[in-house]
Amino acid sequence: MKRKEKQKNTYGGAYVPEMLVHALKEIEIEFEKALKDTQFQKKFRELLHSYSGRPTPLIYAENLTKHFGGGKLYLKNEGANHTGAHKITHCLGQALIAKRLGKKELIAETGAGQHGVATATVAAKFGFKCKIFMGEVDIARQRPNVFWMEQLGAEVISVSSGSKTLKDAVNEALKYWMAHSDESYYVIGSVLGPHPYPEMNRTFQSIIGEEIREQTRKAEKKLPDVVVACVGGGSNAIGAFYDFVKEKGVRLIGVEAGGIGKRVGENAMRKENGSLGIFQGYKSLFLQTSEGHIAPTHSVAAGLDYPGMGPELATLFREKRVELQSATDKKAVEACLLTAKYEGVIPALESSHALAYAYKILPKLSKKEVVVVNVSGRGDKDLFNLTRYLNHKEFKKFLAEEIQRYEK
Amino acid sequence: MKNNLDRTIEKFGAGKKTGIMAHLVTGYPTLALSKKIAQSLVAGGADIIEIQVPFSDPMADGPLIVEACQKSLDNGTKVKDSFALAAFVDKTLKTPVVLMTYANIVIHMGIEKFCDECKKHKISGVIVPDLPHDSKEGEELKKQATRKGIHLIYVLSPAIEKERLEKISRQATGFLYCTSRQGTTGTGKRFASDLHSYLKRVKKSSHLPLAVGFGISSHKDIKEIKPEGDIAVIGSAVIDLIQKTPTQNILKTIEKFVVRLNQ
Repeated sequence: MKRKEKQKNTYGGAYVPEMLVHALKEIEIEFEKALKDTQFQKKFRELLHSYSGRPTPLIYAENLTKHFGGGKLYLKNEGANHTGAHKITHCLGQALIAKRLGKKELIAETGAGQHGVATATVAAKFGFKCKIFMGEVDIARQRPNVFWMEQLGAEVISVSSGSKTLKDAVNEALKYWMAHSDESYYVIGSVLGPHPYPEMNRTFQSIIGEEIREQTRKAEKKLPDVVVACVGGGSNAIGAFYDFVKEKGVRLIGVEAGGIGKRVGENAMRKENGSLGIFQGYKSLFLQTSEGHIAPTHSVAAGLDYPGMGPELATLFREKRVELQSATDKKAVEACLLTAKYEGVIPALESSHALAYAYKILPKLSKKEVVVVNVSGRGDKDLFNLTRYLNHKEFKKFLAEEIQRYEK
Repeated sequence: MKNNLDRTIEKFGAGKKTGIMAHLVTGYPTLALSKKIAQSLVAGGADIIEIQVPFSDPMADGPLIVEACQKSLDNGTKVKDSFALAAFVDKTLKTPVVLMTYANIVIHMGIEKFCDECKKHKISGVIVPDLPHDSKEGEELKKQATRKGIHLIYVLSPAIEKERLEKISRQATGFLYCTSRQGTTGTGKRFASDLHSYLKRVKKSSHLPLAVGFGISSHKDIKEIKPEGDIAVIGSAVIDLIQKTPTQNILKTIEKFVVRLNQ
């Protein structure tokens, strides 16, 4: 579908200053060519297999299934991917597109740092220069990821405008791109931004759903009854859902950040508080103030701390094909710890939101019903956030002692 | 139907003088000073005032304007304050106003209501840099603005392709706003190396005056765009002055600055 038709019919579109139109068109054309190119498809799939480690396992969560006593729970472990999350998938895809376009540099924004690490990783692998834009606040709370991005050869640029978090990092990356689109390729980290990014990233990420279908069929001889995924921008969610959109018997549930309260600024619930808007190049549901400014957000999970939602996901929500639910910070943390204890899987705090909602509905389901939760990433990155949230005294003591050891 | 902008452009037109469109952010540094800054800009010789409705995330703007918008919003500036300022500039200072903002402000208010407000407050033209001419909302804004006698000013950049340039030129009125380079607003950066061939290309595609903006802060810069540029847009340079100057001297400094630009 052409850009104009897309804008007329649905959320999405390319609402950008004129100076980005050319760069987007260039990507759109190349992506369409790549889709028809069997060599490209082969190369992409081969990288997913040999570099990223796909297919990721679908784990039968036997202990939690027994614990809740209702539906049968499976965990799609995207955390088993190289760099620890599903993000590497669309980064590999986009790096291949950038290569085809002859670009020299990859730029990206990052919140929790996972997308930054994934972009820096593919930049290192493919020999691109790399710049990662990251909010000052996120840099402070995700220092280990900053360290790794730098070791991977990327330059991490601290963004001090606005709320100094993810949305401001996106703004700065877009601005840099406006001035350098000749040599730079912007690796957008979710299924959002101007066309063709949402479609392109969804296409790359839809491998998750394809694998869920095949693996559930193998394990259960049927399709899943429910697929649950967390929704920040929505890349892991649309990735897990896309293959099932036409399967009306499969319930698709996106779980948003319920944060610490229901008021705007205390969460990232676009379902409750979002309204139609145009922001960062696309039309979708956004958290906004009464004047049309982009509202602040909150989540214990940096990757969910974002005011907008991928346009395709917003469309599926509008069409009532995807349900949106939410889980609070507290419930997400509880779900994270429970999953670790019962199944030996440490999920990212983002994914823990999806788990929290699954744990709410599991007891109400019959034993025959199969629930697949997409565990979008592993929780190693959340060590500092989690221990701070739990006010973990022993860890705090360790940090203080570690500083002393460091000083020696 | 001619509006205040057309009448003003006619006055400085025909290659005699490069007109000046001076930019300010409503509510920066304060709402009260915005009015006085507009007065100083006009007193110094600005022909058109571009009023920016502050937005939380101004995508096409560089750090100076981003900060000005944020400070203004922190001060509690509302969208209606920009409309009131526009009416003041048009009525009291007899200077046409071009209102600049971002798509979300417009669609949040509703395109028709936004245009009604523009008309009510004597706004001559509107610039919405992140609303492309071929988007659904861009087309609707054009329709509504035209119906109310307001120009929808399109922003062009050096990378624009021939077909798109021709399409935009065909539906443009008022003037065409050409950015002097790829990138965002801001002072102290060089113009695109192909600035003149690009401006010539635009000139060839349209009979409308060309405004040139981004990085213009001196008389020398204005001379440089002169062969093709009919209007020089002074944006971040004014914000920069406001930031650097002690409050009691801001108004005089701004007036002198515009006088110097005109010399």
